Amino acid sequence: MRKRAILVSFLVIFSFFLFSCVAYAQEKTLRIESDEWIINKFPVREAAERFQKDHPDVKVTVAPKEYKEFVKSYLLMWQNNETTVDLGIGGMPEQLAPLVGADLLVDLADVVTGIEGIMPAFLDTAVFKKGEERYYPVIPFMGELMTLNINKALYADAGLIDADGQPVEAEDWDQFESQLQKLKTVAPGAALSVDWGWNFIFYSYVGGIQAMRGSIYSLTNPQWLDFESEAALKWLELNQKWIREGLAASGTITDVNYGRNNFNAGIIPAIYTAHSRFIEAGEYLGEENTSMVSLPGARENGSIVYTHAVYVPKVSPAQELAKQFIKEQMFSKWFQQWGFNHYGKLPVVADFYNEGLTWYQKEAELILETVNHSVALPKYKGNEMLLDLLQEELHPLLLDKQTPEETLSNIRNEIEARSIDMTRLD
Amino acid sequence: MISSRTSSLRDSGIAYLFLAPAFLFIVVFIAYPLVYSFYLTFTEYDFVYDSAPKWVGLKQYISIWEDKVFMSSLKNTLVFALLYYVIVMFFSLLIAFIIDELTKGQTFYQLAVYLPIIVPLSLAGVIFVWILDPTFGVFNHILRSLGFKSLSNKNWLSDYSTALPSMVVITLWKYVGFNVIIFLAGIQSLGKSIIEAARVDGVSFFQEKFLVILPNIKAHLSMASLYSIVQAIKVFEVPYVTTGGGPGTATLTLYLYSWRTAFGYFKMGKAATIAYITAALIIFFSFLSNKFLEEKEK
Repeated sequence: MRKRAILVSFLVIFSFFLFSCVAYAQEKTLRIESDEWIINKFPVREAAERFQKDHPDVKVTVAPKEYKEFVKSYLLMWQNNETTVDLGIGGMPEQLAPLVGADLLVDLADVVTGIEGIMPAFLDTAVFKKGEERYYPVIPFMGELMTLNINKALYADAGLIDADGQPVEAEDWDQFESQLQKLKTVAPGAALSVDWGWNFIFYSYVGGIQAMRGSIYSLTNPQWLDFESEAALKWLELNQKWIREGLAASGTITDVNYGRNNFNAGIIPAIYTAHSRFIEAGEYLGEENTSMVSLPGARENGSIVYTHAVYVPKVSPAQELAKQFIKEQMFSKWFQQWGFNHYGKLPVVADFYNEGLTWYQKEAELILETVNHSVALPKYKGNEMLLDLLQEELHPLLLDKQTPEETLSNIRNEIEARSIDMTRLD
Repeated sequence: MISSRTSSLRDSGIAYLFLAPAFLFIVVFIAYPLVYSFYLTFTEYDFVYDSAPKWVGLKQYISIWEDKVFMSSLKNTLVFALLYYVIVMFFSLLIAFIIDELTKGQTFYQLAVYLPIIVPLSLAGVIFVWILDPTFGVFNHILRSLGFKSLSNKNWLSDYSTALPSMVVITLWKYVGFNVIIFLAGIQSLGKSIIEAARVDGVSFFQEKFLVILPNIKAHLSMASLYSIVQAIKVFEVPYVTTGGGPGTATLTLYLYSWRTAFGYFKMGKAATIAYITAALIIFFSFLSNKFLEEKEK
């Protein structure tokens, strides 16, 4: 009797299990994983609901993924032909290079051709090459521009607002430094913070060089970044000097949010970082009190753009669903503009700048103008090692432990010594 | 009637059956990874671009000493270990002696000292990033209030001279309580007669603690020492969460560098080599500790 009861219970449980497996297999599922900050700053969950409404036979799940280390997790998982995600949202294309290099991502060229008006400057951030053939294993869905985000109220206190109420843009580096000195007299903290943390060090390094000479590439080896020119040397000298003299803060070296937190608190009047910081700060300081200016030379020579991308793993069983979601939701006008209207994240489609933006329209025009002659970072196979090398050499420079000449020389030598793979993937 | 041999065999069989899950766990999660990772130290293996590890013999063990970053992380680990070990052993012993002398509130103080143990080290790191923040941090605020104006703007985690000592402080905060509890257990297990006899002989406070009690709690010293050595060398969470190994490589430890080499650069052979060198350091210092603190058989 007891044995019969156990057998019947087992059969019942097994039947439930079988039934749920079958039911799960019949329902189509799209699993989206995204950075937590993207879920907060874009209407990803609402997009999921809209997609489900348009496709009642599809279930869409949205889960957060780890911000810094997700590439490693995905690499391990996808190389073992397993996946918890059908559509990844978030990650810069250069950050995603290991996934591209390991050939783990679906080519999304057909999705790109189906979306009209993606701005070339943003699209170029996502192109990779197989031999001579360009392809798109990732597509940029939002853009950022490196610029000087400013606190207009503190600029006004320092006498740096013109008669039209616009911030005075420095024409050269001497004038820029003079402005920093004036700002230091009115700011509760340092006058400037440049983002030298791991997440921005590449952009901050090349951003100044691009502004100065209109290129970020080496004069002797055009495939390499510039670690030798007079402009590179000058940019490092200036930053070292500003920190030494207390004009610039060094907090971002270990706390990546140092500059942004102090800017939002009205302590530091200027931060060189992603443009969206001044828009985000509008919420704390007032829309009328934040704006942006270009570094000397950036109006003519451009700045650095970077993007965050979407991608679909080859091991996903829902590739076509993922592509459909990208086209229908992520490149819709409401989704793209929502990111700008709430957090200043740039739409990647030119047409979405014409109407529908609810704030900072004037700045949006300047951003667009600068984006169109700005450049993206190259994508190297050894990107991660190069990033660490940059931190190891630039941080001592910024803290006066070595000279700019030593820094650039060390970087060049260590690229060879560590066999950092500088093969371009784009 | 079941023979005693059959019964014994059945009892052994049942015992092995109960041991099987634990044995399987050890094989799958400890033995196999140990053996495989040791094999990797004799290979070059880029996890992204190589289909399989390539045998290179002792090349990793030889070339690692030419790696500037490895040497920097080795130096940082040894400096951290020395600072941490000396301070944690001294302070935890001192605190244990003080708590033992208290006539009231012993349990409260034991609890207060032990409480940080339950806070995950990574969370402790995040909290200390805020405590040590140069602008908003409470530590600089206290320094400012006490009149130490020149120190009150210091960026403790970004400064080369203070970043690694800051890691030591955070780790001490977390683990000093564990050693205190071990030492207290040892002190309180001693017979009162030893201490009373010493007092009758007229020993001072320090003589009583360091010349009478300490030699009699060698087993507890040994346990605390071993534990502290492992914590001193196996440093990962604090630099990972607070400084990322920076500024530059000022707080990059062996463990963090091994992790970065494996999961940042995907160089599995080199990463395994660094991990085994770290393990060798732990074994070496543990051996030294045991040799020095071993209770000699009477």
